[in-house]
Amino acid sequence: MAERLLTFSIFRYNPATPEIPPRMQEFQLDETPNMTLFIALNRLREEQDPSLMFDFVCRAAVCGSCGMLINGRPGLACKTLTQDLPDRITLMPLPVFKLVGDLSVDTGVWFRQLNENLEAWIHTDKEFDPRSPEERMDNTLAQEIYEAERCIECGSCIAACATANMRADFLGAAGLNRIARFLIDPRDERSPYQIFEVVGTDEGVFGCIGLMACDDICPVEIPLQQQLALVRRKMAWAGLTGK
Amino acid sequence: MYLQKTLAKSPRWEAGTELVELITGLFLLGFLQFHLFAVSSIILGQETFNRDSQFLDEYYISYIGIPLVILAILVHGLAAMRKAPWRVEEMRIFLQHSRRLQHLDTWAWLAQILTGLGVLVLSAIHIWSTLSTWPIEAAKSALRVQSGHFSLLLALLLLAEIHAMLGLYRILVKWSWVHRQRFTKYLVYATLGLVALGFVALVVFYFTSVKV
Amino acid sequence: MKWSEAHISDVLVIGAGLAGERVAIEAASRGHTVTILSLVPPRRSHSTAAQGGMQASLGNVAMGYGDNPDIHFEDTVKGSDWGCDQEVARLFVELAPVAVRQMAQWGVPWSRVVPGKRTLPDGVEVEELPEKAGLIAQRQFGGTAKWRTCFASDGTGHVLQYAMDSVVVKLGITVHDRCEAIALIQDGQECYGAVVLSLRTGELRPYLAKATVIATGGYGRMYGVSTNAVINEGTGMAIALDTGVVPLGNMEAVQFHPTGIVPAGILVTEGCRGDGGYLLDKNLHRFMPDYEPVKKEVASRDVVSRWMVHHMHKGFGVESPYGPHLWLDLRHLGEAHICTNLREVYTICANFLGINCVQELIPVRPTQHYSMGGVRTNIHGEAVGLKRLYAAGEAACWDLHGFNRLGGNSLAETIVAGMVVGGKVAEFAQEAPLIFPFSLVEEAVAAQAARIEALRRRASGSENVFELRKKMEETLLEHVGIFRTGEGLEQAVATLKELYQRSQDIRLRSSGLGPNPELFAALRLPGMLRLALCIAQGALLRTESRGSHYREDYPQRDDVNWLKRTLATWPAGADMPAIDYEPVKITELPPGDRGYGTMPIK
Ligand SMILES: Cc1cc2nc3c(=O)[nH]c(=O)nc-3n(C[C@H](O)[C@H](O)[C@H](O)COP(=O)(O)OP(=O)(O)OC[C@H]3O[C@@H](n4cnc5c(N)ncnc54)[C@H](O)[C@@H]3O)c2cc1C
Ligand code: HEM
Ligand code: HEM
Ligand code: SF4
Ligand code: F3S
Ligand code: FES
Repeated sequence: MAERLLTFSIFRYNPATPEIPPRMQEFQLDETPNMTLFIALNRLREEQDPSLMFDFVCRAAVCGSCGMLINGRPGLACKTLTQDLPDRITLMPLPVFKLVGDLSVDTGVWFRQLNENLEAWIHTDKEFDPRSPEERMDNTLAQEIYEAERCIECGSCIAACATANMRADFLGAAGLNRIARFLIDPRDERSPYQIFEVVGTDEGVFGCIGLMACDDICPVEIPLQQQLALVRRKMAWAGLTGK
Repeated sequence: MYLQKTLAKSPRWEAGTELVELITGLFLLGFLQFHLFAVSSIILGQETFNRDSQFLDEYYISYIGIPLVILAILVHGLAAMRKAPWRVEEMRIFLQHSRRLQHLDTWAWLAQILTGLGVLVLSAIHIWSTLSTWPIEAAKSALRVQSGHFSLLLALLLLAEIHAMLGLYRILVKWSWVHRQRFTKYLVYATLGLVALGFVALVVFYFTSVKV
Repeated sequence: MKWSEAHISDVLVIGAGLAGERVAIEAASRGHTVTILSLVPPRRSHSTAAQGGMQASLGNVAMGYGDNPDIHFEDTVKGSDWGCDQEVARLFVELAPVAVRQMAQWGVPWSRVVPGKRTLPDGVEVEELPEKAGLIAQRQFGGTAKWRTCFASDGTGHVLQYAMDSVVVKLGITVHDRCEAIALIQDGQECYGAVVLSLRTGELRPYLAKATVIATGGYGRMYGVSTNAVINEGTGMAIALDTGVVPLGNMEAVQFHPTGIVPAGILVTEGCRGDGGYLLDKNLHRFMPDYEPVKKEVASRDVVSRWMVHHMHKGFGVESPYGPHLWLDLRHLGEAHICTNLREVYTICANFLGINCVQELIPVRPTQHYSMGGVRTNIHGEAVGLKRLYAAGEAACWDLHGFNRLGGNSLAETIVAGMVVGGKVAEFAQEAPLIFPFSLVEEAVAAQAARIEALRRRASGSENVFELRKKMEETLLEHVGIFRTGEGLEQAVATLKELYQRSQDIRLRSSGLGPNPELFAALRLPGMLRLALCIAQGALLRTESRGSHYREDYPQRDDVNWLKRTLATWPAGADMPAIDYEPVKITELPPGDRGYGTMPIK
């Protein structure tokens, strides 16, 4: 592989020093084989600017910490290889979420709020009996729930959605996908209409106008188009029938 | 939780608006294609065109249909435009966002809003002028096309078809269980085909000799 | 310090992984106010990265019929090379099925049994019975007599953590993320809470509670190459060690996994070798049959890891900018097999190496994976040496794993320990009054504030935190890794000691203001070096090989002298840990042959 000199243009802002306004700062780095943005950013921090803020946890594309705008598109930095990018790489924090500093944003609080609003847990009256065997479930259904449950709350779909960018209270694809998961899970005893009261609104599923950036960008490739359509159909029906 | 928001929220109303948007959209979509085929009967000759027009007239389809279409356009416009970025700040966010993201479907929504607005204006002019020379006859239409309406109708044809097909795409994306990749190309073919048909019809109008 | 900033609750849980959250749920559902601290949002904790599964003897699948807690117990004890506490192991195997089933009720989409016949990769035909249809499915894992690992497709840890956190949200438990406990507030007798650094602002705040629980996971990242998340830096163990009274158990027991990819260190599953993949050296020679003519690539984890490193030491490693590695060859398995049965491997290669493993070789090398050692507790999770302090999960040495953990046992441990320890914490909080000596709290906060101030002022010193840290990582990897020798360990101890001295002299290059990563690293490093010294010193003194601790100069297990657990404490002001030992509790299964893994290197 031909050695390249990469130029990074990175968004900088430290809330502890508000007198320095937000700006783009340039760094240069020689590319090595199989270099990911995780490796590149850590080298920049260790070798050039130790105050550079960014978030990585698993660095294996499973925890959802490292979402950022990579040349304008939301994505997971840890699984982005520099070899797939041009010589000039622009990095910015995800929009919509609160900025912590530089490339780091507060997705955790946002998603906790979302899960509280959606009451995203299994609602059931059944008592747990430690002695009895588990309730049975069809494996196909388990797979379907898993398909929706795979969301890693990286926030890419939220940052990519123009609606979410314009309207702060929009649940976004991640929220709607989360609801899809509970709608198909028979262990959750909520009726569709109970869920409708939370998501059958213009902040919820009817706020989505089918821009599909979420579906194109989701780094774990959740079939968001189908998940959102499922919620929309179920919610429209619940709204019509009141059940 | 905010009192004003909590009291104002009426999920069933919001679901209703969504369904109204869907139904009026589908209705207009149906009308537009039907209308296009009807008008295109000019290609088969003036007699065919006039027979169609008389047929619609005789069974009062025009008298119910035309007001209904006008109503549908208004209702649909209101329902669909509720999510457009009306505020200046929203508009700027939307434009900056789209420019950064460079994502086709996001641009398509902008196209849908703009074509929608275009259709609103042009179809108003168009409907007004056809109704003012009632009843519909091939000769009158040809005259209109030849005396300056050609470009207006061509623009309306393009805007309306693009808008309608984008709309159909949006409906399929939002409601169906089929993946986008499976139907996108057919919608593109359909748009091209319908625009071509309308264009031929317009050209025929243009070259139809009108007995004065 | 402003007292208005003190945060008070009944129970303070440090760590929001599976272990921490399970403890919190138990305590909260018994009516206590609980606060959870975490470096990252709970759902980003390292528990989410576990893919393989969780062991529980349900006996639902054909290859697991007849399984029961006794067999699970035996596997666990053998796996630990008789280093584990057998009372704990017994409690654990009895509760693991309960844990799995409760998680099912909380929403985990476990994969389920589908009845019918199928043929396994090795040609054996099995039949799943219709009466078991829809029960929780189980798969094979190394070192187990029965198939007992429950799983949810390829994301078990993820779904467990999400279900667990959904219960935390449901109960409305307070979670403060982007917070790091940097010191315990204690007087050598009792623990009153922790001094906590906000990773959002760089500010300090005391958190006070009747009971404090350490559930901070492992320290994998102290090694240069690890499958662990970058936040696994052992800070929880370090603050326990800093008390001077709480011992860390068996710190020298460190597990390595044979196939981490290079350079990222991401784990590719054991299934690669299980399904027939080869390991090749720089001459593309398949070397495992030379060493292990019978088992070849599918010998046990520690055995394969050892041979791989041995082979690289002999100069057969492939050179790369990231150090030597070997190749994993899957090409002969064919596209169909790779893209279905080994799909996650395919994606990992595509994402992180940019290669197509159907046509190309995968660069791999043994990689640090799990820390058996941790805060020594009794069977109830109460830390030894300090009242009101508890520990659970990978951060603890409860001692379920002894010198080697079985795959699938640690997810199960986090949840079972969470239930047990949470129950104990709740009981304690019921009785105990909320007390804390004011001056002690103020002193503890002031001491940490002074450390931060000194670093921010950049008054003296010349050491670079990242450089020191890199040296520590390299030292551990090189001398306290898979192969250990007296000589190497002595050198490691000497180097680490020197690094520890130098770490007192760190000077920041940036301002250290706000959420400054250099400041955070500088605050952590001395504690990490103390842990590193516990690991190295423990390994140096233990002149035998047991489980994952392998001494080239003492290749045999020595039950006469070493059937005991290492306890490391750090006396105040010392520059080395004090090492002590305690006997291992053997209740049911006396030491014997593990039945695998004997491999003295000639
Ligand atoms: C790649 C990989 C695959 C694995 N696969 C399996 C498997 O298939 N089966 C299995 O049984 N095990 C597996 N394991 C092991 C298992 O995942 C872990 O041992 C287990 O999840 C640890 O859980 P925990 O709750 O103890 O800690 P973690 O999940 O690591 O959580 C630690 C928590 O503590 C917080 N924390 C840490 N320090 C501080 C501090 N100073 N202040 C405040 N908060 C702090 C962190 O933010 C985090 O929330 C795997 C491990 C790895 C690395
Ligand atoms: C013959 C005329 C028209 C036809 C056939 C038509 C058709 C459609 C269809 C099928 C949709 C998709 C509906 C849905 O998403 O549920 C749609 C959406 C839309 N229409 Fe029209 N429409 C017409 C006129 C108009 C006019 C006059 C306007 C504007 C004033 C307009 C503005 C919009 C907008 C903004 C959308 C997008 C709504 C959204 O995605 O939220 N349309 N149209
Ligand atoms: C509802 C009342 C309508 C009536 C009675 C009507 C009638 C006609 C007639 C008679 C023509 C032939 C040309 C002419 O006379 O100008 C025509 C053409 C056309 N109309 Fe309409 N129309 C109506 C609504 C609309 C609407 C709502 C649209 C679009 C949104 C539309 C789009 C067009 C186009 C594009 C053509 C040109 C067709 C071609 O390419 O040949 N019309 N219409
Ligand atoms: S749906 Fe996809 S893009 Fe959105 S948060 Fe979840 S994983 Fe990220
Ligand atoms: S991008 Fe946004 S508008 Fe809907 S389809 Fe996705 S949530
Ligand atoms: S660091 Fe976990 S997804 Fe990138």
